Amino acid sequence: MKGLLIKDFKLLKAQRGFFTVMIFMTVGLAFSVYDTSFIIGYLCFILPMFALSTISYDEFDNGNAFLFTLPISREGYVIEKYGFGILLGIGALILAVALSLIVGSVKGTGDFTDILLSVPYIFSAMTVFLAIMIPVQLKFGGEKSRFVMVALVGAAVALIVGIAKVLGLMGVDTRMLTDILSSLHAGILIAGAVGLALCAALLSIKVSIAILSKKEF
Amino acid sequence: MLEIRNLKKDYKDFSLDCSMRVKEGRITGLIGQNGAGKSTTFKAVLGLISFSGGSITILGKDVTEFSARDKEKLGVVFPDSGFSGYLTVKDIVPVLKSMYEEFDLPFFIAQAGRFGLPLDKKIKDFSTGMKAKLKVLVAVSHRAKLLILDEPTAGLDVVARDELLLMLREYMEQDEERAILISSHISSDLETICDDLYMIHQGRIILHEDTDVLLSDYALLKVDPEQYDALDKQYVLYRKEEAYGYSCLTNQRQFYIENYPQIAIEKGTIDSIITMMIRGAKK
Repeated sequence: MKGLLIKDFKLLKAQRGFFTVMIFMTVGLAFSVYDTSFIIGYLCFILPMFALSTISYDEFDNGNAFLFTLPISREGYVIEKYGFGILLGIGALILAVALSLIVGSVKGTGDFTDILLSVPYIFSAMTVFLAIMIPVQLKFGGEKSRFVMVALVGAAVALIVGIAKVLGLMGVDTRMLTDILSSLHAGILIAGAVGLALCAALLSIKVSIAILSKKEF
Repeated sequence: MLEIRNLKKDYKDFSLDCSMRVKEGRITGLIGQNGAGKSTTFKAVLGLISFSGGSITILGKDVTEFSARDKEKLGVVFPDSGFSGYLTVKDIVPVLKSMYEEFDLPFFIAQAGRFGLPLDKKIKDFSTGMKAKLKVLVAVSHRAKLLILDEPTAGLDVVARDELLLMLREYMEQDEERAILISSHISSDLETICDDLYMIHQGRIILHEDTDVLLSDYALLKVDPEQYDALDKQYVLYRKEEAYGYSCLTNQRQFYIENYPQIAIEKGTIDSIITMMIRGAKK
Protein backbone atom coordinates (compact mmCIF):
# COMPACT_ATOMS: atom_id res chain seq x y z
CA MET A 1 0.00 0.00 0.00
CA LYS A 2 2.93 2.33 0.75
CA GLY A 3 4.15 1.85 -2.82
CA LEU A 4 0.74 2.80 -4.22
CA LEU A 5 0.62 5.90 -2.03
CA ILE A 6 4.07 6.92 -3.27
CA LYS A 7 2.90 6.37 -6.87
CA ASP A 8 -0.16 8.56 -6.33
CA PHE A 9 1.86 11.32 -4.68
CA LYS A 10 4.28 11.16 -7.62
CA LEU A 11 1.33 11.54 -9.99
CA LEU A 12 0.19 14.49 -7.91
CA LYS A 13 3.68 15.98 -8.21
CA ALA A 14 3.47 15.55 -11.98
CA GLN A 15 0.41 17.84 -11.92
CA ARG A 16 2.00 20.42 -9.62
CA GLY A 17 1.51 23.20 -12.17
CA PHE A 18 -2.25 22.76 -11.99
CA PHE A 19 -2.27 22.74 -8.20
CA THR A 20 -0.05 25.81 -7.94
CA VAL A 21 -2.45 27.74 -10.20
CA MET A 22 -5.36 26.47 -8.11
CA ILE A 23 -3.81 27.67 -4.85
CA PHE A 24 -3.05 31.11 -6.32
CA MET A 25 -6.63 31.30 -7.56
CA THR A 26 -7.87 30.37 -4.10
CA VAL A 27 -5.79 33.12 -2.50
CA GLY A 28 -7.15 35.57 -5.07
CA LEU A 29 -10.69 34.44 -4.32
CA ALA A 30 -10.11 34.73 -0.60
CA PHE A 31 -9.19 38.37 -1.02
CA SER A 32 -12.14 39.13 -3.28
CA VAL A 33 -14.92 37.59 -1.16
CA TYR A 34 -15.96 38.74 2.28
CA ASP A 35 -16.31 35.33 3.91
CA THR A 36 -12.91 33.60 3.75
CA SER A 37 -14.33 30.33 5.13
CA PHE A 38 -15.58 29.76 1.57
CA ILE A 39 -12.06 28.78 0.50
CA ILE A 40 -12.01 25.96 3.04
CA GLY A 41 -14.94 24.27 1.35
CA TYR A 42 -13.52 25.01 -2.09
CA LEU A 43 -10.05 23.55 -1.51
CA CYS A 44 -11.33 20.59 0.48
CA PHE A 45 -13.44 19.40 -2.44
CA ILE A 46 -11.06 20.19 -5.27
CA LEU A 47 -7.93 18.54 -3.81
CA PRO A 48 -9.40 15.16 -2.74
CA MET A 49 -10.90 14.91 -6.22
CA PHE A 50 -7.38 14.14 -7.36
CA ALA A 51 -7.77 10.74 -5.64
CA LEU A 52 -10.50 10.07 -8.22
CA SER A 53 -8.23 11.31 -11.00
CA THR A 54 -5.58 8.77 -9.97
CA ILE A 55 -8.14 6.01 -10.55
CA SER A 56 -8.48 7.35 -14.11
CA TYR A 57 -4.69 7.54 -14.45
CA ASP A 58 -4.45 3.89 -13.35
CA GLU A 59 -7.11 2.84 -15.86
CA PHE A 60 -5.61 4.86 -18.70
CA ASP A 61 -3.90 2.76 -21.42
CA ASN A 62 -5.00 -0.45 -19.69
CA GLY A 63 -2.61 0.39 -16.84
CA ASN A 64 -4.57 -1.66 -14.31
CA ALA A 65 -3.53 -4.95 -15.93
CA PHE A 66 0.10 -4.23 -15.06
CA LEU A 67 -0.69 -2.54 -11.76
CA PHE A 68 -2.42 -5.62 -10.38
CA THR A 69 0.54 -7.85 -11.21
CA LEU A 70 2.57 -5.82 -8.70
CA PRO A 71 2.60 -7.10 -5.12
CA ILE A 72 -0.70 -5.47 -4.17
CA SER A 73 -4.16 -6.90 -3.53
CA ARG A 74 -7.43 -5.51 -4.82
CA GLU A 75 -8.49 -4.75 -1.22
CA GLY A 76 -5.19 -2.95 -0.64
CA TYR A 77 -5.74 -0.86 -3.77
CA VAL A 78 -9.21 0.22 -2.62
CA ILE A 79 -8.08 1.10 0.90
CA GLU A 80 -5.15 3.07 -0.50
CA LYS A 81 -7.50 5.20 -2.64
CA TYR A 82 -9.60 6.14 0.39
CA GLY A 83 -6.44 6.76 2.42
CA PHE A 84 -5.01 8.93 -0.33
CA GLY A 85 -8.27 10.88 -0.65
CA ILE A 86 -8.49 11.46 3.11
CA LEU A 87 -4.80 12.46 3.29
CA LEU A 88 -5.36 14.97 0.49
CA GLY A 89 -8.47 16.20 2.27
CA ILE A 90 -6.61 16.70 5.55
CA GLY A 91 -3.77 18.44 3.68
CA ALA A 92 -6.29 20.68 1.92
CA LEU A 93 -8.03 21.40 5.22
CA ILE A 94 -4.80 22.47 6.93
CA LEU A 95 -3.78 24.60 3.94
CA ALA A 96 -7.22 26.13 3.59
CA VAL A 97 -7.63 26.94 7.29
CA ALA A 98 -4.15 28.52 7.34
CA LEU A 99 -4.92 30.55 4.20
CA SER A 100 -8.31 31.53 5.54
CA LEU A 101 -6.88 32.67 8.87
CA ILE A 102 -4.05 34.59 7.23
CA VAL A 103 -6.28 36.32 4.69
CA GLY A 104 -8.92 36.92 7.37
CA SER A 105 -6.43 38.59 9.68
CA VAL A 106 -4.97 40.69 6.84
CA LYS A 107 -8.44 41.88 5.85
CA GLY A 108 -9.67 42.03 9.41
CA THR A 109 -12.70 39.88 8.55
CA GLY A 110 -13.84 36.40 9.51
CA ASP A 111 -14.34 34.84 12.88
CA PHE A 112 -11.53 32.43 13.88
CA THR A 113 -13.88 30.34 16.03
CA ASP A 114 -16.37 30.00 13.20
CA ILE A 115 -13.62 28.95 10.81
CA LEU A 116 -12.29 26.31 13.20
CA LEU A 117 -15.82 25.07 14.00
CA SER A 118 -16.55 24.55 10.33
CA VAL A 119 -13.55 22.17 9.99
CA PRO A 120 -15.16 18.94 11.27
CA TYR A 121 -18.29 19.54 9.16
CA ILE A 122 -16.25 20.13 6.03
CA PHE A 123 -14.13 17.07 6.82
CA SER A 124 -17.31 14.99 7.20
CA ALA A 125 -18.84 16.34 3.98
CA MET A 126 -15.58 15.67 2.13
CA THR A 127 -15.46 12.10 3.48
CA VAL A 128 -19.05 11.48 2.38
CA PHE A 129 -18.21 12.96 -1.02
CA LEU A 130 -15.32 10.50 -1.42
CA ALA A 131 -17.47 7.68 -0.05
CA ILE A 132 -19.94 8.27 -2.89
CA MET A 133 -17.48 9.10 -5.65
CA ILE A 134 -14.85 6.36 -5.27
CA PRO A 135 -17.18 3.38 -5.83
CA VAL A 136 -18.90 5.25 -8.70
CA GLN A 137 -15.52 5.93 -10.30
CA LEU A 138 -14.38 2.32 -9.81
CA LYS A 139 -17.61 0.92 -11.23
CA PHE A 140 -18.16 3.24 -14.18
CA GLY A 141 -14.72 4.67 -14.97
CA GLY A 142 -13.81 8.31 -15.60
CA GLU A 143 -16.18 9.11 -18.46
CA LYS A 144 -19.39 7.41 -17.41
CA SER A 145 -19.04 8.29 -13.72
CA ARG A 146 -19.72 11.99 -14.50
CA PHE A 147 -23.14 11.11 -15.93
CA VAL A 148 -23.80 8.76 -13.04
CA MET A 149 -22.93 11.55 -10.58
CA VAL A 150 -25.35 13.97 -12.26
CA ALA A 151 -28.04 11.29 -12.07
CA LEU A 152 -27.21 10.58 -8.42
CA VAL A 153 -27.37 14.26 -7.44
CA GLY A 154 -30.69 14.58 -9.29
CA ALA A 155 -32.05 11.51 -7.54
CA ALA A 156 -30.87 12.77 -4.13
CA VAL A 157 -32.54 16.18 -4.65
CA ALA A 158 -35.74 14.49 -5.84
CA LEU A 159 -35.66 12.20 -2.81
CA ILE A 160 -35.22 15.07 -0.33
CA VAL A 161 -37.95 17.18 -1.99
CA GLY A 162 -40.17 14.08 -2.09
CA ILE A 163 -39.66 13.30 1.59
CA ALA A 164 -40.31 16.95 2.54
CA LYS A 165 -43.55 16.92 0.50
CA VAL A 166 -44.73 13.65 2.02
CA LEU A 167 -43.95 14.94 5.51
CA GLY A 168 -45.80 18.15 4.65
CA LEU A 169 -48.86 16.19 3.47
CA MET A 170 -48.75 14.17 6.67
CA GLY A 171 -48.84 17.42 8.61
CA VAL A 172 -45.29 17.09 10.00
CA ASP A 173 -43.58 20.44 10.46
CA THR A 174 -40.11 20.10 8.86
CA ARG A 175 -38.94 23.25 10.60
CA MET A 176 -39.23 21.29 13.81
CA LEU A 177 -36.35 19.07 12.65
CA THR A 178 -34.04 22.03 12.03
CA ASP A 179 -35.09 23.46 15.41
CA ILE A 180 -34.14 20.19 17.12
CA LEU A 181 -30.79 20.12 15.28
CA SER A 182 -29.92 23.70 16.18
CA SER A 183 -30.82 23.14 19.83
CA LEU A 184 -28.30 20.28 20.11
CA HIS A 185 -24.87 20.91 21.62
CA ALA A 186 -22.18 21.63 19.02
CA GLY A 187 -20.09 18.71 20.31
CA ILE A 188 -22.93 16.24 19.74
CA LEU A 189 -23.52 17.61 16.25
CA ILE A 190 -19.85 17.37 15.37
CA ALA A 191 -19.57 13.83 16.76
CA GLY A 192 -22.73 12.88 14.85
CA ALA A 193 -21.46 14.34 11.57
CA VAL A 194 -18.02 12.75 11.84
CA GLY A 195 -19.53 9.42 12.98
CA LEU A 196 -21.96 9.37 10.06
CA ALA A 197 -19.16 10.23 7.62
CA LEU A 198 -16.94 7.43 8.92
CA CYS A 199 -19.82 4.94 8.72
CA ALA A 200 -20.44 6.05 5.12
CA ALA A 201 -16.73 5.59 4.37
CA LEU A 202 -16.63 2.08 5.86
CA LEU A 203 -19.73 1.04 3.92
CA SER A 204 -18.30 2.60 0.79
CA ILE A 205 -14.99 0.72 1.19
CA LYS A 206 -16.94 -2.55 1.37
CA VAL A 207 -18.88 -1.67 -1.78
CA SER A 208 -15.68 -0.62 -3.61
CA ILE A 209 -13.90 -3.87 -2.70
CA ALA A 210 -16.89 -5.85 -4.01
CA ILE A 211 -16.84 -3.81 -7.26
CA LEU A 212 -13.10 -4.22 -7.80
CA SER A 213 -12.97 -7.92 -6.92
CA LYS A 214 -15.36 -8.61 -9.81
CA LYS A 215 -13.41 -6.56 -12.35
CA GLU A 216 -11.39 -8.23 -15.09
CA PHE A 217 -8.35 -6.51 -16.53
CA MET B 1 7.19 -23.28 -11.52
CA LEU B 2 3.93 -23.01 -13.41
CA GLU B 3 1.39 -25.62 -14.35
CA ILE B 4 -1.83 -24.91 -16.21
CA ARG B 5 -4.28 -27.77 -16.41
CA ASN B 6 -7.27 -27.57 -18.74
CA LEU B 7 -7.70 -23.86 -18.22
CA LYS B 8 -11.08 -22.81 -19.62
CA LYS B 9 -12.31 -19.33 -20.34
CA ASP B 10 -15.29 -18.57 -22.53
CA TYR B 11 -16.01 -15.33 -24.33
CA LYS B 12 -18.81 -14.70 -26.81
CA ASP B 13 -16.76 -15.61 -29.86
CA PHE B 14 -13.72 -17.28 -28.34
CA SER B 15 -13.04 -20.13 -25.97
CA LEU B 16 -9.77 -21.09 -24.35
CA ASP B 17 -8.86 -24.62 -23.33
CA CYS B 18 -5.20 -24.77 -22.54
CA SER B 19 -2.70 -26.89 -20.61
CA MET B 20 0.98 -26.12 -20.30
CA ARG B 21 3.95 -26.28 -17.99
CA VAL B 22 6.96 -24.11 -17.29
CA LYS B 23 9.84 -25.89 -15.60
CA GLU B 24 12.62 -24.52 -13.42
CA GLY B 25 15.71 -23.36 -15.28
CA ARG B 26 13.91 -23.14 -18.60
CA ILE B 27 12.61 -20.47 -20.92
CA THR B 28 9.29 -21.57 -22.32
CA GLY B 29 7.76 -19.80 -25.28
CA LEU B 30 4.12 -19.43 -26.17
CA ILE B 31 3.64 -18.62 -29.80
CA GLY B 32 0.49 -17.94 -31.71
CA GLN B 33 -1.28 -15.43 -33.91
CA ASN B 34 -2.94 -12.31 -32.56
CA GLY B 35 -6.13 -13.39 -30.80
CA ALA B 36 -4.97 -17.01 -30.38
CA GLY B 37 -5.33 -16.85 -26.59
CA LYS B 38 -1.84 -15.93 -25.39
CA SER B 39 -2.83 -12.85 -23.38
CA THR B 40 -5.95 -14.55 -22.01
CA THR B 41 -3.76 -17.38 -20.71
CA PHE B 42 -1.31 -14.92 -19.14
CA LYS B 43 -4.05 -12.89 -17.53
CA ALA B 44 -5.64 -15.99 -16.01
CA VAL B 45 -2.25 -17.06 -14.63
CA LEU B 46 -1.85 -13.63 -13.03
CA GLY B 47 -5.33 -13.59 -11.50
CA LEU B 48 -6.45 -10.65 -13.65
CA ILE B 49 -9.41 -12.51 -15.11
CA SER B 50 -11.64 -15.28 -13.80
CA PHE B 51 -11.84 -18.65 -15.52
CA SER B 52 -14.59 -21.20 -15.79
CA GLY B 53 -12.63 -24.44 -15.45
CA GLY B 54 -9.29 -26.09 -14.85
CA SER B 55 -6.55 -25.12 -12.45
CA ILE B 56 -3.36 -23.07 -12.33
CA THR B 57 -0.50 -23.78 -9.95
CA ILE B 58 2.09 -21.03 -9.77
CA LEU B 59 5.28 -21.34 -7.68
CA GLY B 60 3.66 -24.26 -5.86
CA LYS B 61 0.42 -22.44 -4.97
CA ASP B 62 -3.01 -22.48 -6.51
CA VAL B 63 -3.56 -19.17 -8.31
CA THR B 64 -6.62 -18.42 -6.15
CA GLU B 65 -4.39 -18.54 -3.05
CA PHE B 66 -1.54 -16.54 -4.57
CA SER B 67 -1.15 -13.51 -2.29
CA ALA B 68 0.18 -9.99 -2.84
CA ARG B 69 3.37 -11.06 -1.03
CA ASP B 70 3.77 -14.06 -3.35
CA LYS B 71 3.62 -11.70 -6.33
CA GLU B 72 7.02 -10.33 -5.28
CA LYS B 73 8.44 -13.51 -6.82
CA LEU B 74 7.01 -12.62 -10.24
CA GLY B 75 8.15 -10.22 -12.90
CA VAL B 76 5.54 -9.33 -15.47
CA VAL B 77 5.50 -7.52 -18.81
CA PHE B 78 2.41 -6.69 -20.84
CA PRO B 79 2.65 -5.14 -24.31
CA ASP B 80 -0.06 -2.54 -23.76
CA SER B 81 0.18 -1.85 -20.05
CA GLY B 82 2.71 -0.44 -17.62
CA PHE B 83 3.38 2.36 -15.19
CA SER B 84 1.53 5.61 -15.91
CA GLY B 85 3.20 7.61 -18.66
CA TYR B 86 3.08 10.69 -16.44
CA LEU B 87 5.71 9.19 -14.15
CA THR B 88 9.48 9.22 -14.67
CA VAL B 89 11.96 6.42 -13.98
CA LYS B 90 13.04 8.39 -10.92
CA ASP B 91 9.41 8.41 -9.74
CA ILE B 92 8.98 4.66 -9.99
CA VAL B 93 12.18 3.81 -8.10
CA PRO B 94 10.72 4.51 -4.61
CA VAL B 95 7.50 2.75 -5.66
CA LEU B 96 9.42 -0.42 -6.57
CA LYS B 97 11.64 -0.09 -3.52
CA SER B 98 8.68 -0.10 -1.17
CA MET B 99 6.81 -2.82 -3.04
CA TYR B 100 9.63 -5.35 -3.49
CA GLU B 101 11.70 -6.39 -0.50
CA GLU B 102 14.45 -7.60 -2.84
CA PHE B 103 14.46 -4.67 -5.21
CA ASP B 104 18.06 -4.21 -6.38
CA LEU B 105 18.47 -0.45 -6.69
CA PRO B 106 22.14 -0.35 -7.80
CA PHE B 107 21.39 -2.97 -10.48
CA PHE B 108 18.32 -1.05 -11.65
CA ILE B 109 20.17 2.26 -11.93
CA ALA B 110 23.18 0.65 -13.60
CA GLN B 111 20.99 -1.13 -16.17
CA ALA B 112 18.94 2.01 -16.82
CA GLY B 113 22.22 3.76 -17.65
CA ARG B 114 23.45 0.85 -19.78
CA PHE B 115 20.27 0.81 -21.87
CA GLY B 116 20.08 4.59 -22.15
CA LEU B 117 16.90 5.09 -20.13
CA PRO B 118 16.69 8.71 -18.96
CA LEU B 119 15.75 9.01 -15.29
CA ASP B 120 14.00 12.38 -15.46
CA LYS B 121 11.95 12.03 -18.63
CA LYS B 122 8.26 11.16 -18.47
CA ILE B 123 7.67 7.57 -19.64
CA LYS B 124 5.04 8.76 -22.13
CA ASP B 125 7.81 10.60 -23.99
CA PHE B 126 9.98 7.44 -24.25
CA SER B 127 10.44 5.70 -27.60
CA THR B 128 8.77 2.28 -28.06
CA GLY B 129 12.14 0.59 -27.50
CA MET B 130 12.84 2.53 -24.31
CA LYS B 131 9.40 1.72 -22.94
CA ALA B 132 9.89 -1.98 -23.66
CA LYS B 133 13.34 -2.03 -22.07
CA LEU B 134 12.03 -0.26 -18.97
CA LYS B 135 9.23 -2.83 -18.59
CA VAL B 136 11.67 -5.73 -18.77
CA LEU B 137 14.12 -3.96 -16.46
CA VAL B 138 11.37 -3.51 -13.87
CA ALA B 139 10.55 -7.22 -14.17
CA VAL B 140 14.15 -8.40 -13.66
CA SER B 141 15.19 -5.98 -10.89
CA HIS B 142 13.72 -7.67 -7.83
CA ARG B 143 15.14 -11.19 -8.05
CA ALA B 144 11.88 -12.69 -9.26
CA LYS B 145 11.69 -16.48 -9.59
CA LEU B 146 9.40 -16.46 -12.59
CA LEU B 147 9.05 -13.95 -15.39
CA ILE B 148 5.79 -13.83 -17.30
CA LEU B 149 6.38 -11.77 -20.41
CA ASP B 150 3.59 -11.16 -22.87
CA GLU B 151 4.97 -9.89 -26.19
CA PRO B 152 7.93 -8.05 -24.63
CA THR B 153 9.49 -7.47 -28.05
CA ALA B 154 6.37 -6.13 -29.79
CA GLY B 155 7.12 -3.19 -32.07
CA LEU B 156 10.89 -3.22 -31.47
CA ASP B 157 13.69 -2.85 -34.00
CA VAL B 158 16.38 -5.53 -34.24
CA VAL B 159 18.88 -3.76 -31.99
CA ALA B 160 16.35 -3.09 -29.23
CA ARG B 161 15.14 -6.71 -29.48
CA ASP B 162 18.68 -8.02 -29.10
CA GLU B 163 19.27 -5.84 -26.05
CA LEU B 164 16.07 -7.05 -24.51
CA LEU B 165 16.84 -10.72 -25.15
CA LEU B 166 20.30 -10.12 -23.66
CA MET B 167 18.68 -8.81 -20.49
CA LEU B 168 16.64 -12.02 -20.27
CA ARG B 169 19.65 -14.27 -20.83
CA GLU B 170 21.57 -12.48 -18.10
CA TYR B 171 18.59 -12.83 -15.77
CA MET B 172 18.58 -16.61 -16.31
CA GLU B 173 22.35 -16.92 -15.87
CA GLN B 174 22.22 -15.42 -12.38
CA ASP B 175 20.20 -18.24 -10.79
CA GLU B 176 19.40 -21.77 -11.97
CA GLU B 177 16.10 -21.82 -10.11
CA ARG B 178 14.52 -19.18 -12.31
CA ALA B 179 12.20 -19.62 -15.27
CA ILE B 180 10.59 -17.49 -17.96
CA LEU B 181 7.31 -17.83 -19.81
CA ILE B 182 7.44 -15.59 -22.86
CA SER B 183 4.98 -15.04 -25.67
CA SER B 184 5.46 -13.54 -29.07
CA HIS B 185 4.06 -13.64 -32.53
CA ILE B 186 7.57 -13.09 -33.88
CA SER B 187 9.01 -16.57 -34.08
CA SER B 188 12.66 -15.60 -34.53
CA ASP B 189 12.67 -14.00 -31.06
CA LEU B 190 11.57 -17.24 -29.50
CA GLU B 191 13.75 -19.51 -31.67
CA THR B 192 16.88 -17.95 -30.28
CA ILE B 193 15.97 -17.84 -26.62
CA CYS B 194 13.46 -20.57 -25.72
CA ASP B 195 14.21 -24.08 -24.53
CA ASP B 196 10.75 -25.31 -25.43
CA LEU B 197 7.79 -23.91 -27.28
CA TYR B 198 4.04 -24.20 -27.10
CA MET B 199 1.97 -23.21 -30.10
CA ILE B 200 -1.52 -21.94 -29.46
CA HIS B 201 -4.22 -21.60 -32.08
CA GLN B 202 -7.86 -20.61 -31.55
CA GLY B 203 -7.51 -21.13 -27.82
CA ARG B 204 -5.98 -24.63 -28.06
CA ILE B 205 -2.39 -25.79 -27.66
CA ILE B 206 -1.61 -27.49 -30.95
CA LEU B 207 2.05 -28.31 -30.39
CA HIS B 208 4.60 -28.57 -27.60
CA GLU B 209 8.19 -29.38 -28.46
CA ASP B 210 11.76 -28.59 -27.44
CA THR B 211 13.09 -25.80 -29.67
CA ASP B 212 16.15 -27.90 -30.63
CA VAL B 213 13.91 -30.74 -31.80
CA LEU B 214 11.65 -28.35 -33.69
CA LEU B 215 14.56 -26.86 -35.57
CA SER B 216 16.47 -30.10 -36.19
CA ASP B 217 13.82 -32.78 -36.73
CA TYR B 218 10.94 -30.87 -38.29
CA ALA B 219 11.06 -30.23 -42.01
CA LEU B 220 8.94 -29.33 -45.01
CA LEU B 221 8.85 -31.83 -47.84
CA LYS B 222 8.07 -30.17 -51.16
CA VAL B 223 6.78 -32.78 -53.53
CA ASP B 224 4.92 -32.98 -56.84
CA PRO B 225 1.83 -35.22 -57.04
CA GLU B 226 3.83 -38.23 -58.27
CA GLN B 227 6.42 -37.91 -55.52
CA TYR B 228 3.59 -37.50 -53.05
CA ASP B 229 1.94 -40.73 -54.15
CA ALA B 230 5.22 -42.58 -53.74
CA LEU B 231 5.97 -41.03 -50.34
CA ASP B 232 5.90 -43.03 -47.12
CA LYS B 233 3.43 -40.88 -45.20
CA GLN B 234 3.76 -42.41 -41.74
CA TYR B 235 5.82 -39.41 -40.51
CA VAL B 236 3.84 -36.74 -42.34
CA LEU B 237 1.98 -34.64 -39.78
CA TYR B 238 0.26 -32.05 -41.99
CA ARG B 239 -0.24 -31.66 -45.72
CA LYS B 240 -1.00 -28.56 -47.74
CA GLU B 241 -1.80 -28.25 -51.42
CA GLU B 242 0.54 -26.02 -53.37
CA ALA B 243 0.84 -24.93 -57.02
CA TYR B 244 3.59 -27.50 -57.56
CA GLY B 245 1.86 -30.32 -55.68
CA TYR B 246 2.07 -30.60 -51.90
CA SER B 247 4.11 -29.40 -49.00
CA CYS B 248 4.20 -31.81 -46.08
CA LEU B 249 5.29 -31.22 -42.51
CA THR B 250 7.28 -33.98 -40.88
CA ASN B 251 8.99 -34.41 -37.53
CA GLN B 252 11.37 -37.05 -38.97
CA ARG B 253 13.55 -35.01 -41.28
CA GLN B 254 16.42 -37.51 -41.24
CA PHE B 255 14.15 -40.36 -42.38
CA TYR B 256 13.16 -38.50 -45.55
CA ILE B 257 16.71 -37.25 -46.23
CA GLU B 258 17.95 -40.85 -46.15
CA ASN B 259 15.10 -42.48 -48.03
CA TYR B 260 14.03 -39.79 -50.50
CA PRO B 261 17.20 -37.99 -51.61
CA GLN B 262 15.45 -36.73 -54.75
CA ILE B 263 12.80 -34.60 -53.03
CA ALA B 264 13.23 -31.03 -51.83
CA ILE B 265 13.48 -30.95 -48.05
CA GLU B 266 13.43 -27.61 -46.32
CA LYS B 267 14.57 -27.32 -42.70
CA GLY B 268 11.71 -26.41 -40.39
CA THR B 269 11.40 -22.91 -39.09
CA ILE B 270 8.85 -21.97 -36.49
CA ASP B 271 7.00 -19.81 -39.01
CA SER B 272 6.76 -22.61 -41.57
CA ILE B 273 5.65 -25.11 -38.92
CA ILE B 274 2.95 -22.76 -37.66
CA THR B 275 1.71 -22.03 -41.17
CA MET B 276 1.47 -25.75 -41.92
CA MET B 277 -0.29 -26.52 -38.65
CA ILE B 278 -2.83 -23.75 -39.15
CA ARG B 279 -3.38 -23.88 -42.91
CA GLY B 280 -2.58 -27.51 -43.63
CA ALA B 281 -4.73 -30.59 -43.28
CA LYS B 282 -3.87 -33.08 -40.55
CA LYS B 283 -2.81 -36.50 -41.77
